[in-house]
Amino acid sequence: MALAGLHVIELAEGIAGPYAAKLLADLGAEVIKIELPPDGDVARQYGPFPDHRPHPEQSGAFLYLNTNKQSFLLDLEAPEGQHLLRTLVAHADLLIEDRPPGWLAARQLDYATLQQRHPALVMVSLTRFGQEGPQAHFHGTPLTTAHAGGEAFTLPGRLSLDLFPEREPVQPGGMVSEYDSGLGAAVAALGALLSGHGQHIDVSQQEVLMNLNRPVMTHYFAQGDVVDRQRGYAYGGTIPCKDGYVLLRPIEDNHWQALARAMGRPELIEDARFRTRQARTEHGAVLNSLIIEWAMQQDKVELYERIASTGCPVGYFATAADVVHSPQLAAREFFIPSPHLDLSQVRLPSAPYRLSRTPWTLRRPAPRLGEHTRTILASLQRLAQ
Amino acid sequence: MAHTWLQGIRVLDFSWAAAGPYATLLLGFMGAEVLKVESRQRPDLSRRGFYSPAPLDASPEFHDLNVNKRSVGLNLSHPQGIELVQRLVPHCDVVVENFRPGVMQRLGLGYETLQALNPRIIMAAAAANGSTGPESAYPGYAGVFNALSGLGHLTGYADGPPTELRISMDLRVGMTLAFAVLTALYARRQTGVGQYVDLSAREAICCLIGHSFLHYTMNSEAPQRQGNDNASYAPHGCYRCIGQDAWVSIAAPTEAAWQALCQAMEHPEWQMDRRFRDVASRVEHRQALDALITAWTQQRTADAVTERLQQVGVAAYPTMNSATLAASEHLQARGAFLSVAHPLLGPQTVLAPFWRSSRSVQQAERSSPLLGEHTREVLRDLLNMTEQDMARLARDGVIECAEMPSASTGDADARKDRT
Repeated sequence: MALAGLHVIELAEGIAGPYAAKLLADLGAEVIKIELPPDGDVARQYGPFPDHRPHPEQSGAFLYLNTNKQSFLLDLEAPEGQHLLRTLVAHADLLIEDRPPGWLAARQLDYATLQQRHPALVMVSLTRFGQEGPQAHFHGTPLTTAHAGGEAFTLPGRLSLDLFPEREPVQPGGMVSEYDSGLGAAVAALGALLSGHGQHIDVSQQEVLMNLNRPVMTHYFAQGDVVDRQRGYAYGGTIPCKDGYVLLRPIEDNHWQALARAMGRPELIEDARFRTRQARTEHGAVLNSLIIEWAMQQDKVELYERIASTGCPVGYFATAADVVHSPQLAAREFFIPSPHLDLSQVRLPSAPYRLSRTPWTLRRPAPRLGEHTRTILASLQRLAQ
Repeated sequence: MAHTWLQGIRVLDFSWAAAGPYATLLLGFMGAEVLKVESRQRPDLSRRGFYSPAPLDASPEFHDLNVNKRSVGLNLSHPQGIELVQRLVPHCDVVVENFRPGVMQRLGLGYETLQALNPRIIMAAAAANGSTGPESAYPGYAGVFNALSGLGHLTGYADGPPTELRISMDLRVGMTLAFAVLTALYARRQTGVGQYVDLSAREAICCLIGHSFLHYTMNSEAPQRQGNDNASYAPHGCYRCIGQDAWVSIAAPTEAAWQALCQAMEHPEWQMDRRFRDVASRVEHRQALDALITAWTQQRTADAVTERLQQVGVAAYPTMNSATLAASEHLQARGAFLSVAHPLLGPQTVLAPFWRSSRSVQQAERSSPLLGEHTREVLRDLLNMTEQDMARLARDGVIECAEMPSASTGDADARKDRT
């Protein structure tokens, strides 16, 4: 396994921190997840739940975010618990934590304390606004963090703005900003581990998110221009069809020619209004109305398959059902059965990278609350001897 | 390079546009040496500018995504260009590419070939659908895999159309690619050999909204977009403030936060309002609640709302745009912005990498490269090539050097093969 031998302690809950640790666990790292009594990780309450019946061992979010980890239920309000965690960390390579600045110091679990006993420790602190700065202490939630990162201001875009001109900007969906943050923390963690030097890494979720729109920031620095929701494609873009929407990008002339043929309108190729990219841009509204008239007669997946094979870039706006049923994802075995005892029929996303020599594996399901407490305590006792 | 974490690691970078370049930008910030293979016939898209057109050697957008990298001008449609790549591979640790599947093999640079030249080579390929499967030959752009992944459907108003996320989609894939490369580098320490990494952009985004699919695999239900709403609690939304297109986001997940919000907004009577008596009621009556909150926020600036609510422990933050982010005292204090001088553009503000380290061993950033700026020094230093050899190769259009412009050869087919 790619990260065999990497020992990670995770003190985090929700989505961002646990996702960072999951990425490492799924590639072979040994990850011990600290859960605080009485109820452990708050994601155990997020759901979805089978038949909508809440159960802390059956939360879909928790099951996905905590594959391949062990759970250690540990009371960090008690000096004994703090001492045990210090010992555990002293024998680990990496600590990932998401506590508010000051929380760890109050329990003698801050980097200054931990690194004295274990100078080679890499500690990654992932917080919404970072460890330092005038707003480091700010309260935040996934919503306010997504808005703090800059992308929300540019969403949803001109198509929605034309329909609803006075409405508010929206966060990116699916809690993606939390996942983005976790991925950023995992990237920084691996880099620091490869350095061979212990250090404290401070990752701000706001900065991870701001970085995802680097070109937007550069455009402002270079031109003084702010990208907002007014943006839209001159032609193509989001196109309604019979059962939903497709995304069409007939950017180049050869894309447009392929699309015109797929539409059964080869004569449009020579139409002066559409022959060049410049012309298509000028006559975008007319072009789109022609495309929409045609598209409204077909289902999105049908449209996608008809157009994509011609070389014109196209996608369909997929629901969860569409994604789970996608032949492409089925061919890549992207969704896999969970090894969970009671929920073996529930499939989980796997990973987007295929490593030829050290593949991704699902060795164990997300743990029950405190499932590994006893074995971990036993091994800590052995370490003390 | 900002850090020295990957000192001694050399990356041969064939990627272009935003996804691959963001991955290699991150590796470069970690101290890896990144050799960017380029040619004037098919320049990196960002050299032309994403938002406004730019000269090839003076694009701020290219500069931001390509600081610390070196540019090696090689013509991949010339057999000698391919041979030069093959001679460089033994000197490299990582190869990164985001061509359409099959292109590198057709060029004679597939993994089997590279592995034979250097068993330690890690080859990382990013494509819209990955390298296998019935749709793997289809072209992909950010908009395409935003739609196919399900993220576009989940973003937008509940009563509106789905949403196109754009350049951020590419950088999400780039961040995923960087993670996969770092994983392979870590694994190589144990195994002593490299491997092939096949990344699907579409699947990368699916993983970043992973638990949303559990609604379907558990209960056969597909989640719908819901704007800024949260099904579990209210207030939770984005509210208009004083100013042009000015907004603030507010979320009060607990009873304590709700009470603090009512006090801070000087409407203690909301706590007595039957419509808002508990979290379920507040969710049910959120439209009325949001209207009341808007009446308060729209008389204040986003910063004033944020400050007032943060004072009483309520999560609030302005909806930031590129201007307000650039002006943020918090981000400036954190060192989130760097100045990296460009030979033609002068000093440019560039985003710092998103991590800070307690270890202060750092070096100043290098500028992004002019096209072909480092061709001669790389060929000389790594392949012991002489000036005469390089002059001949430049004349024949095999290599391009910034100060020795080559004959204009190019192959339109090679350009079509780009994703």
